[in-house]
Amino acid sequence: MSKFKLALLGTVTVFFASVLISSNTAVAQQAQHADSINIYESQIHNPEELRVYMDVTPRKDNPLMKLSEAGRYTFINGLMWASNGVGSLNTYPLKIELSTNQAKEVLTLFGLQDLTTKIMKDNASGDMFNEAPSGDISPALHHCTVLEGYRCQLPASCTASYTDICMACLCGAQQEK
Amino acid sequence: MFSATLRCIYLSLFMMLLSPAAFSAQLDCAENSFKLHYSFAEKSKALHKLAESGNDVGITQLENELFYLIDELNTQISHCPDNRLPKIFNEAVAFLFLTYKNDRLLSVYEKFIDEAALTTPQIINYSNNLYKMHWQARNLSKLSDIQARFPVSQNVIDSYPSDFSAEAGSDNLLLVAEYDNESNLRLNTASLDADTLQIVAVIDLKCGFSKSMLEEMQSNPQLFSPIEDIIFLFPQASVATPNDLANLSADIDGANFAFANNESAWPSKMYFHQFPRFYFIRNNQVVHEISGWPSAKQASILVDTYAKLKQRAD
Repeated sequence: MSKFKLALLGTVTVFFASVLISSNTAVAQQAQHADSINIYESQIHNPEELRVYMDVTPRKDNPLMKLSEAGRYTFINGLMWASNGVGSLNTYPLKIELSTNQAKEVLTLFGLQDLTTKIMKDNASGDMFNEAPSGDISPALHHCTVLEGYRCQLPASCTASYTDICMACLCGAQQEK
Repeated sequence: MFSATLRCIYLSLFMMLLSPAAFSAQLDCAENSFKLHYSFAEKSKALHKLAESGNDVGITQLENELFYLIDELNTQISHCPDNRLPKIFNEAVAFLFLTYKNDRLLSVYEKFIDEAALTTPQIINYSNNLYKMHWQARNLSKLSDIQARFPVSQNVIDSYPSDFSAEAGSDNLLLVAEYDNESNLRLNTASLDADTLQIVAVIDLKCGFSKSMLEEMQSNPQLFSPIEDIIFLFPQASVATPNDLANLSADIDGANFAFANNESAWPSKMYFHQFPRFYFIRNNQVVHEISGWPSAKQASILVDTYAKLKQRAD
């Protein structure tokens, strides 16, 4: 290998190492304060709409089909529905089976795309360092405090439940007019 | 030119040695840990459902299974430098700690910090967690040892002072944090007045509903004034620091805030992992309970219920 190639290899390695380390730190710092998110207008608001979506959406266009059968079952079974959307959800299958972009596509179905950074924050695969595609920007409906390791317990409380996330604004809290 | 090349290579190798986990991507060996973790998640959920309903049957069996799984996860992490696993393990321990604040769990966590392939920031972060968990378990005599063996940050040591008297297993139910006249933080244990009807509101700062209630109390300090005895109780493993509680006491005039000093000394019906939940307690027994904070109207329901129960008791 020529000296030039060696020099280039060394420089590239150092560059990517620096990017990796600095990105890890930045993500960790951002995540420390990310305990609330925006909730957006979404396609699916209740179990019936989810059933119809699963029936009519071609497999290749359905982001839930990127999950394994067991992961999909766990995710769908873990959705706790409140009157106006998902009160809590089990994000573990998304965390371990999907890339950041794929997880965001799933969460967008429920207006929860802002959760992506929160749940994938330490999932340092290559795509972590690219912004997940924003897609169409839906209007934000609420600003919502979220609580990891808890599920929605109606009315308006969160109870401990491992790998779940409780959405305070959708879990029976009355919205201010 | 050649020496510049060597310098680049040496620097790259040095950075890899400095932070080995930053270079390990997602590895196939993690698959086994994920299977274990699915199992851990299901059993943890089952444990809390049993605990919430006050059903002790089966809890011991689940405890053994959960500790077996956490040991297995720890062993796998020490052999598989996949960068997703430390976070998963940390979350698993933190969740188990809600229920088991004992040496067995904390020893597993120490072993994890010692043996897993962690970056320097991760080691500091998890050492801070270890120190905090020992404080929350009231293992005050062990804090200096933890500080000597692990790189605990000074701000964490300052946030969790150890110069007060409250050992694990104490029967004092409350740990009160307040500022004295010279703005020094003071920590004291206290007991609950057993003879009078009290409302104990279990809350935490990480919970949106609890925060809404506290904001309402700040804007309307008279919200709960018809209730003679109400205490806002944070669980032992709360995210709130003693300074947070002292600040709340200073900000909301007349409101009483405390940590649960020893959760196991409270009535067995108390569940410290649902927020907010209001327990009506008399003679160390839960006589009624109400959950949630859907809106400020919940205050009227609590006031009315308290008045009825008080009238009945008198």
